[in-house]
Amino acid sequence: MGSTSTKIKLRTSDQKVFEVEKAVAVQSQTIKYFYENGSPDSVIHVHSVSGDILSKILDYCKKHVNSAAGKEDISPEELHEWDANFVKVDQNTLFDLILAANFLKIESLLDLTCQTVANMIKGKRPEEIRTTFNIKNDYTIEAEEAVRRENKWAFDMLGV
Amino acid sequence: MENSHESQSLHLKDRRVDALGNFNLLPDELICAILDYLTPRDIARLACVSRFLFFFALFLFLIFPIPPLWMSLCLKKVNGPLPYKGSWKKTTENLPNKYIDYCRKPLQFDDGFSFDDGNVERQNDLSKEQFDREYDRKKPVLLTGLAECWPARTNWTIDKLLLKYGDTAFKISQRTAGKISMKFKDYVSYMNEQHDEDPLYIFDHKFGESAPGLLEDYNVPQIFQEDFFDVLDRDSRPPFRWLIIGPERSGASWHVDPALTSAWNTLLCGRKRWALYPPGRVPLGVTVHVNDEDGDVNIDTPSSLQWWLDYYPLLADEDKPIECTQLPGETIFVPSGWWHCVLNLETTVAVTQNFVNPRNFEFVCLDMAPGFQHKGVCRVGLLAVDGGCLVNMEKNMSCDKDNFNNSDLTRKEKRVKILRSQESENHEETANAASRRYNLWKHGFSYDINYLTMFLDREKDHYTSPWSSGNCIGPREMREWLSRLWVGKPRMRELIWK
Repeated sequence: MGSTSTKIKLRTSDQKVFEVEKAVAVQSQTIKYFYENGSPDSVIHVHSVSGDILSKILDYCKKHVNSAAGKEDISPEELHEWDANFVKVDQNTLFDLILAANFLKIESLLDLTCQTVANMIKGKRPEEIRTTFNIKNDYTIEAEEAVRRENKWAFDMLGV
Repeated sequence: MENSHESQSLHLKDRRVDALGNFNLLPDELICAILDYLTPRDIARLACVSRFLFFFALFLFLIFPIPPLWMSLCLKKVNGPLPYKGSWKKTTENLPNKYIDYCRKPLQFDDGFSFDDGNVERQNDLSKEQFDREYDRKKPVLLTGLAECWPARTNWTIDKLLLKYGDTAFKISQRTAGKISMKFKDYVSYMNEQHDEDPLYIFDHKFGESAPGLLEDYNVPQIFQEDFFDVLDRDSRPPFRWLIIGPERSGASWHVDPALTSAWNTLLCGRKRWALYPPGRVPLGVTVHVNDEDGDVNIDTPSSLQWWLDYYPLLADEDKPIECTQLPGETIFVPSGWWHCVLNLETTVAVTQNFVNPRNFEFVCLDMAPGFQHKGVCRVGLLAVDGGCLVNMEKNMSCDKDNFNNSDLTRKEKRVKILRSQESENHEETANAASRRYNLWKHGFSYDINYLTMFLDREKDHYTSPWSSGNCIGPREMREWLSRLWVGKPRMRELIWK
């Protein structure tokens, strides 16, 4: 019970230091591991995560810890909506969140962010996908025709 | 040398940057994690975006190290005849080898497996009358000697067919619907080189059109010559004859023939192992889903080989199917509504035809009728009916056999109970469930037209109800067929169905 007041210190790639409630910080399996296997007072260096991204991620963790612990009166629908807003960020930030969630091992956040990117792909034509993600078409004309012919079934619903 | 290697990897890196765009920021496994949320359709479209993404799309199919996925992936990708390159792997593309790791030991039967302790009767020289009286609608029978004078008996070997039809394309069986065909010579090279657990086999209902010469090599045995579908034009009649060629381990898994037609199957070379259950007796491990909207029937079943290896040994002796090993030159008769499953013990060549005659005609019509409950009952027996309904029905039967109008019987909201295959790890339980099922089957269920008619939904008619998409002919053709029969065969008065 007293553990909620325990703080864990984190240092980011850009040398910013965060002091975080233990319950929030251990949402990350990576931090939990370092905390349990290091000395309690040491600063954990999350070397691949920037301060901006970490602060966002801690917001996410706080929200979810509080709602799970009943500290915050929020319905599952509201939390879902909060999540949806949370990932309304520019693409660079979204990809950084994916990388950080992966490094920090925060399963639910990784799911949320990957699902968000997947939604950006769903139901789109190849041209749209290229524009959305700055992908260069490296097919030759013939090869592209062939691969589109082979995957023709996938275009039926799009009317293309 | 070093240099060129380095420049090559640099080049590769550039390509990754371009061809992945913003995805380049993510390691491969995270890209896969994202693609995991996509439907196959989205993945297929993604494959069209760039070559690098194409490989990711492929990779996603490949992380499941089970050979059949290679097949379905490969089959999905081809539209024309499929050239087989010696393995699905090679056929699929020149893919990085590290993704290919068959971790499961392939299923295979050993030589002791193919015993012939069959309990299907063998008959030589059966008269039409005797067949009608003793077997038709009643039980399967093996007929010897019917094919002795067919040219096919000597001509239908792989080598001879290869000489004559090497460049002819035949349709190939596959679990997912689709029209894959392969040139015979490519198929034979596949057949010889494959190690698939559930190999593809030729299953072609158009062989008479693509290779008319084959039709001259056999004739329909006299006792099976009557076929009411004859009155329909060639292009409106449903598929009725199939050429079947497949290697050992291949074969049709458990099913009931379409529209409850009957069938004969003559083997020209190789041996086939058959297992059969009477109508309404669902084999262990098989699940039947009947769509309660349109009565479409879907069957979930293990492959033939898998069934014989995994399920068959669990069966108590009294629950075992009727079995036989069909030898070259023999013809098996499969009566209407009977479940059957076939396993090729070596490379086989066979021809089969389905037919409608006076003794299964009503069943075929019944099966085409709208509604779902009767379709379920024809296939899975009384398991398709809820318990409460069953009691009602028994009452109904003992009081008044003709009164089918009991509202409980036809209540629409009654869902056809879906038969669950007992997929518990506890084999004993599974076997018990099977014999319970068998007991239920033994009591009361009968494959009798008047009996089955009780399960028809009287509120539905042919004109306004959804037509089951699984039916082999459409509602218009059905009416056309019946009216032609009406004209051509005045004695068939059971056309009240309409």
